[in-house]
Amino acid sequence: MKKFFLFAPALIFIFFSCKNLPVIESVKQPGMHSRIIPFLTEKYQLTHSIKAELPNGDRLLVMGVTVADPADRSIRALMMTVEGLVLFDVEYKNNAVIVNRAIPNFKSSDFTRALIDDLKLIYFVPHGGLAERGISEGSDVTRYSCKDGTTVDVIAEEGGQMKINKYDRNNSLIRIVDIFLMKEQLPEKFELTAPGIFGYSLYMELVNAERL
Amino acid sequence: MKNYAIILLLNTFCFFPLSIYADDWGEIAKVAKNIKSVSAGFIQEKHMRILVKPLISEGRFLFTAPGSLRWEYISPVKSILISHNGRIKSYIEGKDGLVEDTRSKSAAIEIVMQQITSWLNGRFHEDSNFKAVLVKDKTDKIILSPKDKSLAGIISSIELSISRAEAVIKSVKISESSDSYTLIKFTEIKHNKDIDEREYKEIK
Repeated sequence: MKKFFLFAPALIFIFFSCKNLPVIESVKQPGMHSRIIPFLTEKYQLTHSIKAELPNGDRLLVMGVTVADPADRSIRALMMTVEGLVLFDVEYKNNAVIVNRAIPNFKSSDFTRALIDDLKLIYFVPHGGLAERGISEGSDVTRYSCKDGTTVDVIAEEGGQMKINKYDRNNSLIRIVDIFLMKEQLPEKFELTAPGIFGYSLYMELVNAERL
Repeated sequence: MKNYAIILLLNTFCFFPLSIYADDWGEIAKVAKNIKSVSAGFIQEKHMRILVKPLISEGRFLFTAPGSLRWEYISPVKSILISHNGRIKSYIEGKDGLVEDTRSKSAAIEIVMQQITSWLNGRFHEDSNFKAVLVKDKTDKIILSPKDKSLAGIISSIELSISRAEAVIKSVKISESSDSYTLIKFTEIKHNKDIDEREYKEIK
């Protein structure tokens, strides 16, 4: 019982820090910002610098190369050190994942799945139907109900900043993508956050983009 | 993983003082002892079949004998690794400027430092991780192959190209596999010039 009281403040904090799916107010005329979508419409090779903050507090700086094709929703992703050593190389196509190379610390299948899911969230229109469009907390929101039971909100704020929020089957917020800057329809500076005690964040800046 | 990344990086550091052509390993060790300091710029090209064009990074390198090093990336991201008076500090660009990296806290770094000392003395052929071969051709090369199988799965070879005419190491090629390698080309190489000690103490 004593242990319960010891952890109670932490549990209360976790409970209240978990954001749930907000209500969307329907509007007859969607705002002009909601017409902008931050997802890829063509096949690209994108190179980013990635500043990661990991659950154990470690900070990591790596370079990421992603080849993403929205037509078949395929992804090839590489992570390498600044010195050029490839840490991780994975391909995703037709729901199959092939790991071409993984340095020991990156061999976990959980890591691979999380990486692929995060990249799909950033680059591809959510795999499912458009569920709702309207206003929530003063911003234009386009909501997608995905085939895997998750919900994705694409939020266009008035200042032009965009946000992608992903909720799990229980409507708890599991990923936040804050897009600070768009350039030629591509997110140029953005941050992906996985909230929670095992959460992490990835701050990504576009170094190079090649249309393929 | 971090051990190998550090070995990879510090390999580059340590070959650098070997700046004059030598006929054999003994001569290389002798030449290395005459190098008091080195400063240079570098251009790093990452080549992979998947890349439409190589990923280019630029930076600078400083070394003062017996063991002060500064390896700094300037673009596309800032990253600094400093070794001075037996202490290693690594900094990476965070969201709000340079922050200390956890690499410098790695216990493996001590082992790597012991190896560096051996390289700095030009003792490549005594290296416990790599087998060294000296190839004399139009461009002379030192080719290092990993002895350990687990290391060989990460780095297949390291090749140093030496310009006999200019008496410097021109480039280092680190191959990971048949379709992936990193080429580091050195520029504006200066030997035995005074280097301000603050370069090894301050990140600026």
